[in-house]
Amino acid sequence: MIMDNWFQKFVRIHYGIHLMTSLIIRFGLIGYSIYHDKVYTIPYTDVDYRVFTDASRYVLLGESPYERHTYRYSPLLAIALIPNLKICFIFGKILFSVIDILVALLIRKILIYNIEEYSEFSKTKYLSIEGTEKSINDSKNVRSNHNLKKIKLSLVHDDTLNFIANISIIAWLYNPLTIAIATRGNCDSIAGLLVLTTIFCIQCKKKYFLGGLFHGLAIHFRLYPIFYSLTLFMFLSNYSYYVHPAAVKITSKKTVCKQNEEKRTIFKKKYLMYLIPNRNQISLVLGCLMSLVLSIGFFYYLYGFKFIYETYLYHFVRHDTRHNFSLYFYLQYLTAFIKNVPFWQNILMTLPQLVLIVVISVRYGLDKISFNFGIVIQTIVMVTYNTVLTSQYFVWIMVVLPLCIWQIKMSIISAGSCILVWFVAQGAWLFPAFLLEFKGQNTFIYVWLQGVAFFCANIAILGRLIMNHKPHDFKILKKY
Amino acid sequence: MINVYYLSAIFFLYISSNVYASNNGCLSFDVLLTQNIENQGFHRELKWLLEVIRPDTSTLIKNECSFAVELDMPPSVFVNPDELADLQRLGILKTFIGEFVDIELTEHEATNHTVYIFIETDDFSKVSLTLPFHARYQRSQISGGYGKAVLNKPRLLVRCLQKKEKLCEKFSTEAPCDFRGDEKCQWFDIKYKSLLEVNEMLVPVGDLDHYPLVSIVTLSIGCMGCIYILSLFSVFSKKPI
Repeated sequence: MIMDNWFQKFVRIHYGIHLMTSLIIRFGLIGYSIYHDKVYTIPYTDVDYRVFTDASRYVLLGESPYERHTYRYSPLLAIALIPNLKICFIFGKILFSVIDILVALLIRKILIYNIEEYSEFSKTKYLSIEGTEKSINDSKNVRSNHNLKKIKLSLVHDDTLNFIANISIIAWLYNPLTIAIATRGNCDSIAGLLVLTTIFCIQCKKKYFLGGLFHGLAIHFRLYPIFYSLTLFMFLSNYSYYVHPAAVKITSKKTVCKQNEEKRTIFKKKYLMYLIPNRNQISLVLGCLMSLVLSIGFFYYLYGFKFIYETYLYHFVRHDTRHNFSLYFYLQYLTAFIKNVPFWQNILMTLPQLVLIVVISVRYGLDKISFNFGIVIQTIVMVTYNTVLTSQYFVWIMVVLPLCIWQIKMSIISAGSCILVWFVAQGAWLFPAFLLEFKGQNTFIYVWLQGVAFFCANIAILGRLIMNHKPHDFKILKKY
Repeated sequence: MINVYYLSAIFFLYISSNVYASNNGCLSFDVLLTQNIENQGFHRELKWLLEVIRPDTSTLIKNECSFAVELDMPPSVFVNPDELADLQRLGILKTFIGEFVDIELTEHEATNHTVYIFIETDDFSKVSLTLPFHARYQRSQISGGYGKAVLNKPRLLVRCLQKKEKLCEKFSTEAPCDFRGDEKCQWFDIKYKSLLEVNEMLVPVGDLDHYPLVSIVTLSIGCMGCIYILSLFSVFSKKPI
């Protein structure tokens, strides 16, 4: 109870103070990194940070940043980090830390907008649904009225909103992983910022062309946001909808059977209609194409084919056989030098994630309130099924996860056990990996087995998230 | 009297032999190099103990002699240029790598590269050096086990700036003058005595016998995960009626 109180008090601190504190923590660690790198042989700073800086040096000399071996990012990054050489070596780290703060601000904005918009929707459309329900059953009506009261009570309250928003930004700002990523000099938070800006433009500002521009830029920068394209496209569809909270309450109890009958068909001809674009969708696609073509064209003109190869093609042709968390690592290593790998192997490796990504895109893209949740689980699928998986990729999830924490209704115990399972699965992988890498024992098969276990843990957690995803249940909001 | 004659004769012989040696301009080397590979696994350290027994340090300093170790790394191992740059920055080890090193390649895609380690010290009687290096992944093979990575014997190079005494060695070779590697200098490749040479290490290799099991389980688990998530979608549906 005391812990609970402390936590509540901590969360209720003004978000500006949270931002400042986390910035100070980051600056403190950047200061420490300078000391650490001077004293210890194993540096605190990420190897990639030196790669970026070296690439900046080439840019400064008027050469291609791809002259630096293993530089596989957008030239924009090398250009942005030129002050590393001109002003101070830690400029980039400070930039990444500030970007972390911007990400937190965006998370807050998007979240508050989402909740307010949805509560607004619940109020306006409620009466009509209530009316239809009334004619069917009087007892239901009583329950519905009760719901209306609850929603009004809980959502108009600014305090509640602030509380939820603060929890979400805390999950980002004080996350050890994100702190480490920024202060060690990893650029992944920039991609996160671009993804969130895209969502912000489309959801909150309704600026679809601008959103498209940012989306194109995000793809140019880090390629992985390309998988969000269909979700964004569906979000702007004429067929997208809001589910009324009251409607969900009633249907979930009474008409489950009816719904299930409807669900049995996987594909309907109607779905093809989703692909016919409307004006908003066209401006999104145009914006995206424009920034993609411009940025890629410009840098292709400057740096030639090597830019295309290192930034984009490499991710498709890469054969990183060194051990990593991925389910597919051992299979890839075993078959890396075999010439006649059966073609179905590659199909079976890519098909499951493609199917999942498309299904999630359509299903959650159309459901306006679940859109952000869709982005999150899509990211989890992408990371889980990736053929190369290191802990750096978890940041992709961390960036978007805070957007939908409020929609996941889980008890503290089950949420805690999910987190525990995730860490235990990683730790269990680390043991055979340590024996392999540092003790030289042949533990490939065990590393693989733990990879399988980690994959199962990820899928199980993903399943829990989907099961406990209840955006229409406002009860939890009332609690605070 | 005879004793005195004897002693002086010995003394004379001693002096003359010394004079003879230096007059001949021949600075010969007697060096002992002890090599060891430390750590296990993919990340190893080469430990060298270099003992220059003859000539003594003062002669070396007088002649401004410097030593370098040249090591040719076979495809199965590599040194990481970034790591060596770190050591250089910290003033621990001065090195130069002759070729471009691709740290991501596997053994049979990679090529050799040469590392020069420049020894800077005031005391040549005992110099210890540590060079971190890494094993590359090797092609997986039937029945797995371990692959071998055999290190080449290092060459010991010496170069003296002041030519007060000539070197006895005749085999000269070209190598970078210092860790910057901008210029090439004439170095002498000297013979040395080596001790307890460990030059071989084992690297774990993937087992192709696992292939059927691994491919079936991996691919089916991947598909099952997909089916499980899809099944959840149909059970936990939130579409409006």
